[in-house]
Amino acid sequence: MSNILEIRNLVVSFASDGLKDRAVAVNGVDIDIPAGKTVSLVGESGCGKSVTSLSVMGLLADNGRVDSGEAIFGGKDLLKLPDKQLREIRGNRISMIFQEPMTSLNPVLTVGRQVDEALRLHSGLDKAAARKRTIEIFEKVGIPEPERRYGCYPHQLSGGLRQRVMIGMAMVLQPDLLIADEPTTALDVSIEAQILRLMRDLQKDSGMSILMITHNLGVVAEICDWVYVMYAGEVVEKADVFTLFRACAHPYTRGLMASLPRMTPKGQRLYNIMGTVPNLRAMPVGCRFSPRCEFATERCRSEKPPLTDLGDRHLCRCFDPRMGGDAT
Amino acid sequence: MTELLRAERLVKEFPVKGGVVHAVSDVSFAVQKGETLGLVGESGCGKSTLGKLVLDLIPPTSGKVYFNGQDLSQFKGEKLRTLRRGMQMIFQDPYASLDPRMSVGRIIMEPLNAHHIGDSRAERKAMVQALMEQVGLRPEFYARYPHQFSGGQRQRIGIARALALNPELVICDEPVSALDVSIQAQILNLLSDLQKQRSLTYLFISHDLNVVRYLSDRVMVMFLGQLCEMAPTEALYTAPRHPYTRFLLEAVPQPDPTRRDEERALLTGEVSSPVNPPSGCQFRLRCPYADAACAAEHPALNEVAPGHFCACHHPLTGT
Repeated sequence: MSNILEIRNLVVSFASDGLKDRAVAVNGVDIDIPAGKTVSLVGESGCGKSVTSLSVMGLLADNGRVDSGEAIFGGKDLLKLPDKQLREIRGNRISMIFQEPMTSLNPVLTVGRQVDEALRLHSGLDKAAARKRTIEIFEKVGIPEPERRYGCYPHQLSGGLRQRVMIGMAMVLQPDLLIADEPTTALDVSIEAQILRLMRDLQKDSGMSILMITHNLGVVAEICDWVYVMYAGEVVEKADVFTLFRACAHPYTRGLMASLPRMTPKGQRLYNIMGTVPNLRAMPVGCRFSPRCEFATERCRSEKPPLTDLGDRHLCRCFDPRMGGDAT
Repeated sequence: MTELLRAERLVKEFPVKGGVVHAVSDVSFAVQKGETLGLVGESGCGKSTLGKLVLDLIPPTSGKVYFNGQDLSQFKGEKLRTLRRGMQMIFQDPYASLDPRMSVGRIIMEPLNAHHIGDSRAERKAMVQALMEQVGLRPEFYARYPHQFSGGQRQRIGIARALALNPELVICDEPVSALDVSIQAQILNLLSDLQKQRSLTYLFISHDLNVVRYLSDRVMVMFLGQLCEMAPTEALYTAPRHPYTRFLLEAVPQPDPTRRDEERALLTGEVSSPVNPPSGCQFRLRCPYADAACAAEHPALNEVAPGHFCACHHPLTGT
């Protein structure tokens, strides 16, 4: 199967005031997004999952910089494209939706007009045709009374409806790739389930690929095909979703799974990963997870484990995967 | 078991332009000493307002709260403050609930000062450091400021502050929602250790059904200001009787990809507005079982099985 996007050896760093060294937030990440599939980047705050997607889109903050790497999309390296060409792709062939739709929508324009704008900018439709198409897409993403909602301002809509507007805006140009950064994190569970189902249905219809950035393993299990687990700026494990939930191998992934309060009866302690994520400016020398890993050896503390294939394209960055028996 | 807290027919209405927000409508429940009562519901259902009413942080429009058998509304000023020592709160956002200009030591000491506990500053400082140790913070960090701590550590500061007055009841309002999964597990373990050590009683408010299941002995479900179901935890999760509870449980994305193609009933529509809510059952506009009876009359909270209460004209059979 062909990949719609291939990220190779991506390194991204940030400058901070008063500090000479740059903080490396993403350190040599490789990601493949197959056509028509949903790939998830999962990890905790600061692991580099959002920075990875923002760099691909050329949307890093001013103090951020891509130090090396490639992101091949349609035969072109997005990281080296001039701004103008990148803008052509962004919003047109690749769309993004974010966690908080309120902050990504313009509060002084009606939602209809905001979708229109993207449409007219990229497709050259005239005003009436763009309006018609916008109302169609509102209907498709499940916005009730789309004609009336066209004239609403963002604050007049609920969180779920605003996220539907964002998805409509992202879908209206029929992108090949939708990047969704925590799209349901701010929503209630009944609305979250609706939005996840909508994304699955839209993918089935359009054949687009989705890059889903999330911290929620439930969301991963719900809609993803491939999963990349990130820790401290690196991919520590990659597997298809069924393998990951059945037989994850990296101690970090296994710790995450075990710390979910899903089946643990009351009174029994939850598994917890000791300590906290390392500081970006003071990374451990060997394996970045070694200070928190209960299985770490001298070798783990001094030498960095490579990402090795355990078979069936299941990759794991650990000298001794599945240490300590089968996954819980 | 003895009853620690009882809420009787609590009502809270907020007047707004164009109507009245019915944040909490006629809610009654009791919490026994040493138990954890979970409270779940979606945004705007009134769960945080209910938490504040219980602490008397906001006055109810009507209804009463009894703490250790004493009616809070009968107390004022100094007496109320003394009574309130026994009930404390832990908040969701450890960033917003700590004063950035105060050192951690001062933050945790503040309740001790306010209630004139401890004879000297040195004694209070020793108490604060003992608390820090109990919640897993290094006592040497006494003079540090909140921004020097991670999110999980800040939540530990909030917990230490809540425990400073040695309360019996702690209201936990989404205490782990802002935390990463691995840190969330640390804080949940801490809360359950502290409960054992200090025989604490928790009212645990959260939108996360998995977290509530893990921590609670009994669970209440709220929808648009009303209590729709209350039951022992396992009964509620395995055999919900209110249609809304079942929809909520089915909507939670489960970390098990083999179940994702299961047929699931999803709620349609949006949450109705708590301003001028529908007549009868608040849930009827989104409920597939709703009929004329649901529009005509608000269903009472009936005991459908021992200790299992449900407010529905057409409760599910419980399988």
